[in-house]
Amino acid sequence: MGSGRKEVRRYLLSTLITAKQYRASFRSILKYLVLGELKIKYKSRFLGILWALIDPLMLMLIYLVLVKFIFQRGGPTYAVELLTGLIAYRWFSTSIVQAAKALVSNGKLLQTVKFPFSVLPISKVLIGGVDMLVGFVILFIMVFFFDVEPTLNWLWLPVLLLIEFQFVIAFSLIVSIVGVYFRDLLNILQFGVRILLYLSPVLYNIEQLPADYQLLYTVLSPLAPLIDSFKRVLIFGQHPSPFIFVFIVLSAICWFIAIALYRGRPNIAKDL
Amino acid sequence: MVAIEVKDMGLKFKLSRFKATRVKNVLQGFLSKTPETAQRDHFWALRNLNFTLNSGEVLGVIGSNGSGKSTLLRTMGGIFVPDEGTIEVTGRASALLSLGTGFKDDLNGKENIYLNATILGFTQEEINAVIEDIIAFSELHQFIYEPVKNYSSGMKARLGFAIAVHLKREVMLIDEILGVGDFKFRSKSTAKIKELINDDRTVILVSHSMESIRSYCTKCLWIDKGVQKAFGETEEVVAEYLKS
Repeated sequence: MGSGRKEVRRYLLSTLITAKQYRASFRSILKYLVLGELKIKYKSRFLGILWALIDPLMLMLIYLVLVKFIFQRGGPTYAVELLTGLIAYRWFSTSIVQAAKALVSNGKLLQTVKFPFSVLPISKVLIGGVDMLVGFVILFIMVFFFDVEPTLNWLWLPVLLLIEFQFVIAFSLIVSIVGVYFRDLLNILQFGVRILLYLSPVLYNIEQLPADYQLLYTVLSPLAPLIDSFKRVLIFGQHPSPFIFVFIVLSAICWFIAIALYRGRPNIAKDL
Repeated sequence: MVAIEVKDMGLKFKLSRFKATRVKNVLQGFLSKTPETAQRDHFWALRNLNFTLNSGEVLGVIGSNGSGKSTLLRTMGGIFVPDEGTIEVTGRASALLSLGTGFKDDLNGKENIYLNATILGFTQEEINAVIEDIIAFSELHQFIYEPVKNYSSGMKARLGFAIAVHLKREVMLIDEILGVGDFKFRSKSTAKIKELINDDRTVILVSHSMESIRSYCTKCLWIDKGVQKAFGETEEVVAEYLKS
């Protein structure tokens, strides 16, 4: 009896400490990681936060010249369509590549201190999110130069951003763990995200594909419903794509895998 | 009150040449997974450890290089989960393993104090309460606002030490950090460690210096190749160790 009660007390003691302070410590570690990295990334550079703009704008310019002037394609709002797609795509691509290294590159730390290590990949998603938001500010300014009328459908934008946010987090959690056991993952991802750019409706719109393949494409190209929805809402003044539900189902599957991986790896420090 | 209770504890590592990080190994694992190969592809870093430590006691852990002392400390800190047996730590343990781990080179000293301390699990208020002491103890003065990448290794070690000894937990895990910095700082840090130990905390100290083990520790554990050789009163265990 006595030892049983002792067990219970010990158990309570440990849960009281973790349940109450776990979330608080999670949040503050996240805060310092993100602020620290943003400072490193922007404050110590001459052009600072402008770098968050230069990269997507340069990409946009390259494709704009290629498509609009060389191939003579694309409608009057092509430039902003392109930028919308690029910004949404880049949040995903940069976050997952960074997340794949997040645990491996902090191996020493993970073997030294016990802390909720999911903050490492999640911080990468938030840092990518800052770039994304800066990009959106520019996008909002540009949109008016292309005679895009603001509509009530713009209210969908925060919803779409949330949908993308949770998906990128789930996917980043998965690749962070898999990256520990399968070191080739980083190389594969760096290659994979480049292919994904062309497989996603960034440079083109779904309507431009042959009608027979549009449905198949929307279901199979993972980011298609999301990027399509961003373009519809922001530029074409429409509702999000109905296929956004396919994307939500995909996110649910990713969350399921991510949680299973994090629950099942208490000994990750040993494998680093 | 019992602070740490270790029962038949064992921890094994997979040997890196058998880790499933290569296609070859995965295939081999599928093709030839017999009990025999399963035995061969890992080694026990710790095995059959049995000891109990009361709160307020100071345990010295001794043994030759690679005997598993740091691994034991990490297991106590909750970083590794035992593969067999149990380890129970009452209260929170704080790890003072290698000093300055987790510093970000581009952040300044003060920011690194906050980053390091939050990763160690301390709240904003707890850090605010000791930040001035940490800065004063580290003797970094105005350099605290310089990025850590410009610090000398001595400055980094001093800052790491100052963080470690000012953020206290019920159980402190200390891994050979007694000799930090120059002579003056070393005597200051020795005094600080003494203060910690006399503070009625449970302390686990890993060290190669029999001198410090003798002067600080009430109990001593000798491990060799992961196996417990002796546990008991410091003088007896140290004498036994030195004879071997």
